[in-house]
Amino acid sequence: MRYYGYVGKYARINLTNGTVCIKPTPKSLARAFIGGSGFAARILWDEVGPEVDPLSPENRLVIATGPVTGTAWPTAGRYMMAAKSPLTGIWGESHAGGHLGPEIKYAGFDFLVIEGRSPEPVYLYLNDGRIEILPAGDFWGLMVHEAVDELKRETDLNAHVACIGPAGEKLVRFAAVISDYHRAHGRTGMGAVWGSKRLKALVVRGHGSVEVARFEQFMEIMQEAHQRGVEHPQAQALAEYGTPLLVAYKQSIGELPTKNHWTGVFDGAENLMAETLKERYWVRTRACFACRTRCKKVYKSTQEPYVVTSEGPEYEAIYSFGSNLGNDNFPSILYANYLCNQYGLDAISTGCTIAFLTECVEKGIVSREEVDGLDLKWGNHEAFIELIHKIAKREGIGNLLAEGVKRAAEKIGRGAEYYALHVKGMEVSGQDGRTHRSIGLSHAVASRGADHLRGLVTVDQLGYEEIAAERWGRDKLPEICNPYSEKWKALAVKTTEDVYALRDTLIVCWYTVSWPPIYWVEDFARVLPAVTGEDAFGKVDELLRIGERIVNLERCFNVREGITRKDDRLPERFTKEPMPQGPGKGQTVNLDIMLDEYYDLRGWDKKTGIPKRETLEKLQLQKQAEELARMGKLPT
Amino acid sequence: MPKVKVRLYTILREAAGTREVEVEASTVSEALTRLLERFGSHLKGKLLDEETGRLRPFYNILVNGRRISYPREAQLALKQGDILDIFPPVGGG
Repeated sequence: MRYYGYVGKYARINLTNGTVCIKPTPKSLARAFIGGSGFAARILWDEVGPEVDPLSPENRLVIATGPVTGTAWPTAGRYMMAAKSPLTGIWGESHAGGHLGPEIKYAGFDFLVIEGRSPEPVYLYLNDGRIEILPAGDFWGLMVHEAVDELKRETDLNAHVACIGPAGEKLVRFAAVISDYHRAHGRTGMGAVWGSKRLKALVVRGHGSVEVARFEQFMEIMQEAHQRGVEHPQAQALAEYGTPLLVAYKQSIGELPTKNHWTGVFDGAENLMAETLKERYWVRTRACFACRTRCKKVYKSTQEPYVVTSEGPEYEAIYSFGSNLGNDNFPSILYANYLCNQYGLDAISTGCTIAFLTECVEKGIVSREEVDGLDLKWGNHEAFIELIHKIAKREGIGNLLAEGVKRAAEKIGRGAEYYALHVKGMEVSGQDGRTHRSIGLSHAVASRGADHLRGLVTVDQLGYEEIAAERWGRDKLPEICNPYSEKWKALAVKTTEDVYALRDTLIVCWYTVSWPPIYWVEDFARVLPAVTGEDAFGKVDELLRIGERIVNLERCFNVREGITRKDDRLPERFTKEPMPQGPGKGQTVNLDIMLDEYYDLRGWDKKTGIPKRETLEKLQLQKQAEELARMGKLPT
Repeated sequence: MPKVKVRLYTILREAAGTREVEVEASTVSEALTRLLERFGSHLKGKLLDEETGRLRPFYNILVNGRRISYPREAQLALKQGDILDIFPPVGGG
């Protein structure tokens, strides 16, 4: 007897010998890990050891949906991919919206495990239960949009396509996979993993459906959830303005990263605010599958040389190509984001590597000759655009930046390391712990590196005292909402990480979960039993335990790669360099006090940051405890 | 009476037709009153809950970039040149 919600099959695809093996989705895997990130964590732990180079045929690429994917539950259009990251050498994972995730299930698959390396470029065609490995030589080298158009012409014009561009083919370590033209699996370099396997694209067409266990119950709670989403003031704001909403608020609180995270206040912010974009550039709004929030905005620029109409950028790309580069020219940011989608690049890491190099030039560490003669200075968008081309093609100085800031700084030396803003090798997203204390801890401990999607707590950024009291207890007020205090932030981050890990198993969009309180774990406990028929998923405690299990399993994966407390660090800019301007002037992050509390709450050894045996056993991760013990890594 | 700057965002900016105004107010509460006097019922409907008369849910008021708890800190004293930011809900990432 299988669960409902899942379509019941997965495929193992070996690109070295061109074989496809279709098997039943194990019920035990679903019960223990639900889907998405949970499935990937289990598979990568089992199959990708520390000896595996991320760009070798031995690395595994997991592409997964969850039980809710493809149903009518709000935002059920997400899917994910995971592999050992070529950027960080540890846990790599990235999610995207659009419409492709549901199509994977309609084509008859819950998830795919891709291994090996094809002798020639190929693409995968999932079509109503069949999987074909087809030649992609004609598409290799094409920019994303052209490749997608060609692939649809060759297969089915109604197919959905995920694709890499030239950056993935050139193994840029932060290359992205672009889904449905505009939705990026941006972070951790999944595009380079595709490139290393000579996998150009995934084309999916299906006419199947997702059966839910308790139809009438599901319809009732689904409709109520949609209504709540439509009526919620935050969803309404996102629908009207999209994620650029954040620019103005973060400017006001002094958390708009500017000039390589030097400060949190940007003089040109008004030109990048959602209100300005809506008035000057907005042309239409789009939505992902099953989402009535419709946060995707299409903007048009007629300004030479940045004449383009394109979806995005989101807040993160506005920060990375805007304030963080001292650039208030929105058309150039729109164009930079468009180029990232066309080349297949992570917009955050791309902007951050350019910011790193710009500051190195400013500080006299790198000469103009070393940057191919470019006039690299804050706000010079023409030079930034040129660098995007160079990174994607690995030309000149772009070849160094394509390695990410950590490797680039190590190669440059001369003190450049200080200006390489990363955690565990991943460039820092658009937040700053100095004026939003919980994100300092989140950046330090997240399994992917400096991550805003794994444990972003919003109550110390945006307030919401009633939400904080409801989630963590009234006795935690007011400190838990204080952006300049370390107090209670470990508790908030730990809980949030567990809930977000769950979110990434269903899989649903993070916007309606991360920004309180449209959907939270109680909603997951209502929808999961209705979809799957598994009553245990109706217990909040059990779901939180599964979330905790996934966080710990990803940590075990990283520990096996050598990660310990010494790697849970922030760039010294955040811990030693006081915020120079704005309302948080003078603030720094006291990371260690939060780390101590966090490890205690997690049941991890405070000295090493490694999960204790009893913690792992409590979460049914005995196998992982044994392996870490054999490696001599388990704390005694 | 101190002169303070009030900056409005998104739907409040659209409702008021301006992004910032200067008002004379010695407390946050007074500043809101002056704002509503100037822009009338159209802004009031966007800013306050019709039934309770309180600030709409998930709205934020910042004084010089520091978020305040409203209405608990409604009587917070303002001084000449202070900046009040009033934000309707924001989100994203």
